[in-house]
Amino acid sequence: MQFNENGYTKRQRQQWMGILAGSLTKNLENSWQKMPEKPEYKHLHKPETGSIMVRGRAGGSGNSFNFGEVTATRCTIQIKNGHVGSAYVLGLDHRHAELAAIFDALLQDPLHHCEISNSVVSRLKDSYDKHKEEIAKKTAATKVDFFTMVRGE
Amino acid sequence: MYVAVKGGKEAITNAHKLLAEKRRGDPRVPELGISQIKEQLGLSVDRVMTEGSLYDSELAAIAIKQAQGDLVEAIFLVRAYRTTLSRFGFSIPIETTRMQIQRRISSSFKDIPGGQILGPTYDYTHRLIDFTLRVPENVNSEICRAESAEKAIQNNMTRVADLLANEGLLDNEATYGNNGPVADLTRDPLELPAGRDVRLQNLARGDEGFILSLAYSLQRGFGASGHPFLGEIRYGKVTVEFVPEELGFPIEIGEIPITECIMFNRFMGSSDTPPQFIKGYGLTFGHCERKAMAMSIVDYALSSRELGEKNEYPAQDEEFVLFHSDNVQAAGFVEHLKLPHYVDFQADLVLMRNRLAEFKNDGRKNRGIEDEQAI
Amino acid sequence: MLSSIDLNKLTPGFSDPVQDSRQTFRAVLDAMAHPGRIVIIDNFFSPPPPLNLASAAICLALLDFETTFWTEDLKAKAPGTGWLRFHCGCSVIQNPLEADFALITSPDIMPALNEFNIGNDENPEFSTTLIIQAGRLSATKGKRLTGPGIETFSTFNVEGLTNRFWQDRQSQSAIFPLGVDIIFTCENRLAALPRTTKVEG
Repeated sequence: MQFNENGYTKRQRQQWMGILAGSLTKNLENSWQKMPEKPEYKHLHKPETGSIMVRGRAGGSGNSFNFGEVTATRCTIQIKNGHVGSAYVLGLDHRHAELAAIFDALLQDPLHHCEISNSVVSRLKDSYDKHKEEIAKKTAATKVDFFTMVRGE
Repeated sequence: MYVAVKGGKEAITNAHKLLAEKRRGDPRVPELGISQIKEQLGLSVDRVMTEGSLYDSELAAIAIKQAQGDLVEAIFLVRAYRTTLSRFGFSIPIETTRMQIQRRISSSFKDIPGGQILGPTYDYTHRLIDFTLRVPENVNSEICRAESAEKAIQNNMTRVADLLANEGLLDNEATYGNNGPVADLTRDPLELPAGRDVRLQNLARGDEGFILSLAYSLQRGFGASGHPFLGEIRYGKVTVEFVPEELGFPIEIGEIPITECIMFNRFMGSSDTPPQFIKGYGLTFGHCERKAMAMSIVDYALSSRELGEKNEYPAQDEEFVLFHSDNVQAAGFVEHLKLPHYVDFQADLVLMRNRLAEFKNDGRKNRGIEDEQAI
Repeated sequence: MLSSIDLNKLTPGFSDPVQDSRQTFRAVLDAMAHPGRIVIIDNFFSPPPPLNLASAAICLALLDFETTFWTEDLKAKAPGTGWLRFHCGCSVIQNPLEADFALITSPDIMPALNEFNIGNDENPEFSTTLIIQAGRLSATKGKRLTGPGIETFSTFNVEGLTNRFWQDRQSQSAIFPLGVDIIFTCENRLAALPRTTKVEG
């Protein structure tokens, strides 16, 4: 595993960025509001909405094709001590992208990493996992149990 | 001939006001909220996103409200909005084997790894109007609560098609040539012959009704292939991954629900291709099962050129299919007939008057000759 | 893909991306519609060297992920290039012949005009649009411009261009409608020389 000078791996950053992008804005906002000292930040790229063309694969595993677009919003911010946070999130919500970018920057900062990781990211992941689990259990209830009729004899 | 076509500005403004009133309906009835449309008319939203070719349930719901539920109009609105967005890039191709499964069935194999999972389906319903839905209180009762199993369903389900592939009985996509740059209909006009990437993008955006009818025509007898078999249909959420230019590594930007269909089609083989099943592919945003199935059948029919099969039925004719599948284009072309054609029609009118006069003249002449003969 | 960008040293772009892009687009439109007219970009931000404000604004407004971009300093980590890649998402390419847009910061040593894309007979608009950073722009004396968008004639002067550039420009009139369109920039000012304009003097 390759740690950078701030003590996290690229894979770890990818994971938290995915969790922040997949979370509801109101959950991110709650976590932000709860922070006792809000760090100062400036925008390097203000929230901007655009699209990303989603590609599929012919037959599920063959050559790529352009399937259709999704709306996405990007934002890049820099916190006072220089760490730059980026976010690309689905949808039109500027605040979602902004908060995700702020948390991304804080998570790269050794001063804030542990606190944000424990109080924000792990909570978001828990609520996400719980939601997924619920759906997976309801789906499981619709699984067919075949029984075979024995004929003859 | 001069025909006035200006004017009508006030009439147009008032017509739009009247439309707004009509859209609102009886003000004593509560107004429909966007979240209500998203939550309770989800399949309409899914269709608008699929054919609008833009995944955003909020936008699709607004469009449906604005169009008074006219889905083709709503699709038009979404397509128009889409053109205003600058593009950040392309996603990494979605990996449907890593889907969080909410429905997954196969009609080709009974016992499939992971099992047959019905999910939220209209199959096996009796199609009787459910009058309990008339009374809102009933909807909040126990009837709308799903059962939960003890154990959650497994994710990362392998494809049913792999069962055939292991036997060497399935195409490996090699028929369609190698992977060059991916064509994009939103940037370059449709040109024939179309590669499979163009065909799949076109069908994915195409009108459900048109593609459904084409698939039906193939099954009913306007198609050479045998009976297609549903290899697998799956519905659930997949992750969209994207590599931003400034980061240089892939990040997950969120999850989208999709429906994927793989149809097995019997191919008897040719001099250089062994007999095998060929996959037809269907893919939609949200839950659009009928569309995904129809798409997968038409996808196979359009591959006749690559497979060296005869091209003899309407649904195999890529010019006929691909140039007429888009309901925004089709609606525009048909509905443009509502616009003033006063001058064009005057020209036609003059032509037709002359023809009628000629016809009458010729008739009199003919009768004249007959009269003379009678004398 | 080029290597990742050093984000820590980046400066912000437009403070209001939508409005500022629209205003810049309008400025470019004005300049293109009135060749030789000097148009001012009414905005303030700090692009990294060697970009001047007008060039940077034009790039922010016109470049995106789908436009190809060429500039003299192709090193991915060069401040100007990294800044543009970050803000616009544009792809930086090696061959000026394939560029939709080209930025020239040292016009005295720039490639010949025919080394850029001049479009083709079917699609003359596929040509490269050149953004050339000049030493000085003035409308008082110098070249005499005539053609579409100019009522009688206008005068125009750009500092820092070589004689060879003007010879190249002259020879492009023979291949019209093919050819490149040019935007000159200096600080927060710009002026355009589209392919339709005749240059004398």
